[in-house]
Amino acid sequence: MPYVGIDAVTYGTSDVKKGAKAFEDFGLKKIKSGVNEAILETQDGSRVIIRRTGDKSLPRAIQRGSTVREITWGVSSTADLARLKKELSKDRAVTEDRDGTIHSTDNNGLGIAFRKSRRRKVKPRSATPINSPEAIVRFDDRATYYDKASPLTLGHAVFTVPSYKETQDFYVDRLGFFVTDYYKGRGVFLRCKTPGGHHNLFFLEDEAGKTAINHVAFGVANTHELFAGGIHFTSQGWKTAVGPGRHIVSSCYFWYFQNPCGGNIEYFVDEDFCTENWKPKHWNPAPDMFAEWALGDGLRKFAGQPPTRTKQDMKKKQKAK
Amino acid sequence: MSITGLDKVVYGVDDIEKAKGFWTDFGLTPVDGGDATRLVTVEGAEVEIRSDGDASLPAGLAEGNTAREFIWGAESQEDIDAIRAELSKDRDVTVDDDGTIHTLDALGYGVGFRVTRRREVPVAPTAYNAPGQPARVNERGRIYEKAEPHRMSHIVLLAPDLDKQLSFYVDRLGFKVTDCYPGRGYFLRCGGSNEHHNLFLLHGGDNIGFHHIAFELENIHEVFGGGLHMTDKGWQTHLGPGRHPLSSCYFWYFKNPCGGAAEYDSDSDYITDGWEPAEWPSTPESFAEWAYAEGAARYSGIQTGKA
Repeated sequence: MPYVGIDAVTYGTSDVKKGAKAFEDFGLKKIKSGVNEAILETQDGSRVIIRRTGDKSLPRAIQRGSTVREITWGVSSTADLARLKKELSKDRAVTEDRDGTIHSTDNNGLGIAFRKSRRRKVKPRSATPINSPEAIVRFDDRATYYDKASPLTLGHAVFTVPSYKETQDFYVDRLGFFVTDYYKGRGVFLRCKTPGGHHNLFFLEDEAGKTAINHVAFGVANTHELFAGGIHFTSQGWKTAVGPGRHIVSSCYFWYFQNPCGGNIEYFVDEDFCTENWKPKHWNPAPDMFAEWALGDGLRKFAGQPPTRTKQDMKKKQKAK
Repeated sequence: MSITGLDKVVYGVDDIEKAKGFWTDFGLTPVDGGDATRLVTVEGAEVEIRSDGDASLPAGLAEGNTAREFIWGAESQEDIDAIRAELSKDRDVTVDDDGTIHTLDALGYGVGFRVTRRREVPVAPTAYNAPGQPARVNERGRIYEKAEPHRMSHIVLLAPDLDKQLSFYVDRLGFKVTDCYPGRGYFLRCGGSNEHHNLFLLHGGDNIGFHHIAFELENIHEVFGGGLHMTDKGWQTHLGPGRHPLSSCYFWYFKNPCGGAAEYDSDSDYITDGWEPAEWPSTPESFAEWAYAEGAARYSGIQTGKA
């Protein structure tokens, strides 16, 4: 199995510092921070690289403005790299870095790269087990409360494209990806490995025929971390795009935020996990298939009056002010 | 005397059909037989609905529709006999044909005790996937069309005289304090229960009356699925969805035409005698990590609302 997952996403943006601040507030660890380049990473070492829009080292942009310029796929071995290089060289330019990373473009002109994966194996932070009635697994132990999220991994990227079918052909036939599910006639969910998480790429057909970043998604350990992460990110002034909510396709809980580097960034948790026995389904692309439920304006920390508070408490508080 | 949990709650209401509709939508199962409308949880705990004019019911301590009596379940007839002997020392205790004993607690709430009719119904633990740690393979996460409350988990009663009420439940009936807001609220579990709380005594000035009842569900998915179904059916959110720091559970409260609120909860703490009770400040942060005030609706385009 050649692929490990997404090793890096590289953005080209007008304000590198602002972009780095967003991803740091989102919970990624800052590795490098400058005016021309910032690098941040998740717990497993998958990276977000932010450079200036006009940076000559970046692949050509798929759209105007701030956007994703390249997706770097981590593979298991140098033999995988050689095989991918040979395959892609049949009909497109492929360059190779000094460190062995190979660079090319997909069928939509999006920069793609491949390298021996530098991701690390990690376990979710000490998440407490979850109780159900008669299935008690957490005794005398209050559940985990998170101050903020610390995403474990970079899970997937989503683009709108002129043709999902052509894009599917490229990723499945040329790069060896797997189809997990379809939005009937509109889009395809692909995973880079099997067994693996529900999708690493989702391509949605754009009626105007444009290629654009939709979002990049980061996996967290549990719903507690998802809600707390979103609340913290909101408290830092970043705006919800949609969420929190729950997707029907892939089953995961989600919370999307606007990203100054382009598109949205998403926290997700509890996505389906698929082996070779998974049966792809053609989902009707109706609005109610996007989510079981979703809030539009996000959530904030609770600031209402608890029932244990008295009117006197509130008077005292007002006096104190 | 080993009380194990809530066995039954009896409401007195002015509109029995509406009440039945609420609890059916909430996910309880109606049962036939008897002269009252009864609905049960998966484990068999009962909600009984009677006319508010029913002379056989204890007085309600809140205005209008409200819960009139709370029946606690115990392990054995010996337990019931012991409770009867204890409470008969200073109050009238009556006995039903079916052996249930009835009296009033320290503040006048109707209470009863019987050998529990709840039966344990096993639940498969929910498998959640985290990145790199799949526990649910080739199986989509469950989406619930509606809730099916498993367990009647707790009630909340307003207590203008907290000490008197605490002494009754702790010293006389063997309840244990799990957590508290000193002077404001006490989370009590039955002596024979491992749940975080079966009874919360809330001090709200001179106010007295039934506040809410809660039901435990399998998982967070069911909290959302149940709440969405209730919303679909036109029932109003009281508060939620959200998450409590005390007891750790996810919650969603609905306004209940029977009086007070009815709460879904999931992932509550479970307690042994090794638990260390804690004192909590009466702050918003202690009450909820987060809470959505207006409920959530089934997705059909982005919902807007204030957080």
